[in-house]
Amino acid sequence: MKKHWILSPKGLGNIFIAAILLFYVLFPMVVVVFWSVAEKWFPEHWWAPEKIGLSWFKALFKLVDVQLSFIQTFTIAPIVVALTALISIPAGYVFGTKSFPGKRLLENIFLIPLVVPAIATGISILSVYTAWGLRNTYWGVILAHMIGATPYMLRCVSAAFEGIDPAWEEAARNLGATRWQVIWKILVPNIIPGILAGAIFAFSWSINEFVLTLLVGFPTVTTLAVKVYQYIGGYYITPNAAAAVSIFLTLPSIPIVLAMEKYVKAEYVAGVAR
Amino acid sequence: MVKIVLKNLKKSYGNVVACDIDYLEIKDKEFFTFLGPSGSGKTTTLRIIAGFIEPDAGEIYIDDKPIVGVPPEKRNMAMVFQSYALFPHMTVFDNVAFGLTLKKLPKEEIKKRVENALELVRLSGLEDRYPRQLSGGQQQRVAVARAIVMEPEVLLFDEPLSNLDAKLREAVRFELRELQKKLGITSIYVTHDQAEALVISDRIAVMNEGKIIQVGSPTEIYEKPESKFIADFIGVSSFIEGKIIDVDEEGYATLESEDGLKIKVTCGRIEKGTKASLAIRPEYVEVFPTKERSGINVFEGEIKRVAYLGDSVDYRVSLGKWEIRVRDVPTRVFRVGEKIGLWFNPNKCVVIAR
Repeated sequence: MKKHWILSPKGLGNIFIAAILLFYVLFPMVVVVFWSVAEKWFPEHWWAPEKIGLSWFKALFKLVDVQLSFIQTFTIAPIVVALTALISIPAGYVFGTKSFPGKRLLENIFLIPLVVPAIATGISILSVYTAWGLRNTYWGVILAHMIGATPYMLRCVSAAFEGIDPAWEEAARNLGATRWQVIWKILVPNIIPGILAGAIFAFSWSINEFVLTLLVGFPTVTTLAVKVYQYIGGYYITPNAAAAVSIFLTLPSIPIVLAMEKYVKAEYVAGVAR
Repeated sequence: MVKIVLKNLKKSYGNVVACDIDYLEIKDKEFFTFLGPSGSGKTTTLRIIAGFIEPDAGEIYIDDKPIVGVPPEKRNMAMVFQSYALFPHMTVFDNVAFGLTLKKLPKEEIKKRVENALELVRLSGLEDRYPRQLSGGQQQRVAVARAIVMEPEVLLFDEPLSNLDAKLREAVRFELRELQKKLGITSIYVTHDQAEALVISDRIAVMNEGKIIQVGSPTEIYEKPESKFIADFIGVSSFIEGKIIDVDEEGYATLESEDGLKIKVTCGRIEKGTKASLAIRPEYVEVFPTKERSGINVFEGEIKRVAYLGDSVDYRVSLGKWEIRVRDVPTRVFRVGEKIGLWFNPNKCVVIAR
């Protein structure tokens, strides 16, 4: 009988590599979950908690500043998504459907925020925001998040517009659709997936953004990402609390990943990477 | 009755004349084709008829009713696009039903008509598929179904077969023509593929640089081209330049070529003394061993190139300063450099005044 391919040296090699990658990606997550529920540790070793429970979460939820972080994080993110969409839809329409001299250059300029290290951007915007009175404000943080979120959104939306065949409009009008019907029945349904893909990127950008949020928002605005840093770093040194806060940050990613699976076509993601 | 008349239709983009048609009548139930190379204005003309492009001047009449200025959605024409332009977010059924739903027809009627249309193009059973799940040929048929389901006065085709592979294209030509004859809808077709135009059309208008060069049935266009452009563009022709030195009562003329060959040709409407080009198709030149025949229109040439095509042999023969293309049955094959006899069939030699 022929041996199953998995048992061949090549199959075993593949499994080995896959296992390493899986470990590399998942292990940190496992640790975070572990730490967030570890209420008490054995004195003699570090790797298994003595008591497991939700006391860290309970304690954190009672803290007003964590509650505030929670509210701030999940109100800032939707506003960032809405505003970047507002900018990117008309811009994406132009990039995706028109051609004009300097288009390529302009598209690349819009990518610069992704290339420049956040700390460099932060230093330069800090002085501007201070002068404009945006430092330590909600809107300051929102604007700072939009710097990184807009290129993603714009790429997704342009890719969606690029995918539109101008003949669709002609075909629809030829079949009796008015201009408005073309927009509602043909263009919008084909653009929505692109906007949704962009929204997912922009949303996760906003909740994950750390450097600019710390520089611009601290101490008034501290999103969860900053809060994690506080618990882990210079202030309290409480990794268990930090882990619990990280869980708050991670939870929204699950529906996001599921939504991506459903709505985001590979070409939009490719549009971002391009 | 749907008769279409184009009058003094003009459209230019900067200095480029895209459409300049003085008068053209497309008859009821006719399959009419605009044929021309790319940039000849055939697509512009079709799009003006569809209402996507506003002409600079002129008028289009459908049964004496002017339609320039009427928006495309009110023209009662249905178009099949080169890219098919199927809506990717809709199923086959919804694509075909799109125009009918806009008309707010009752659900049962829409269902019945869509099913009928899909049956006509042999796509029954694929109603719930999305366009991306279909092959190119199937997508093309959805596009046709979406047009015919509207029961339009006029069907417009913008190179609808150019994205199909050669074999399929040949089969679909016949299907389209049969369908059009069955439905009896006046149709306007645009293509750059001359074989397609010859097979599919009742009449063809050959266009170049925005102008119609000749209108006629496929045979007229092929056998009696009125200009060198058409003789060259449709099929293959060899040309001999010269002057008409004699016209007789039986309808023949004699052309003397620049290097002194005297060739008898059908004369058409040409007068003695006119400078003219002679055009002849490769299949109307006969080749044979030298001195096997003699008489009128027999000349001696030399084989320059031979291409064996299986079902035929293609020769390029030098005759004086002219290169003559010949297609022969492959029962015998002459070799390069061989001297051979040539005979031009006078009834198939076309003269075109210069």
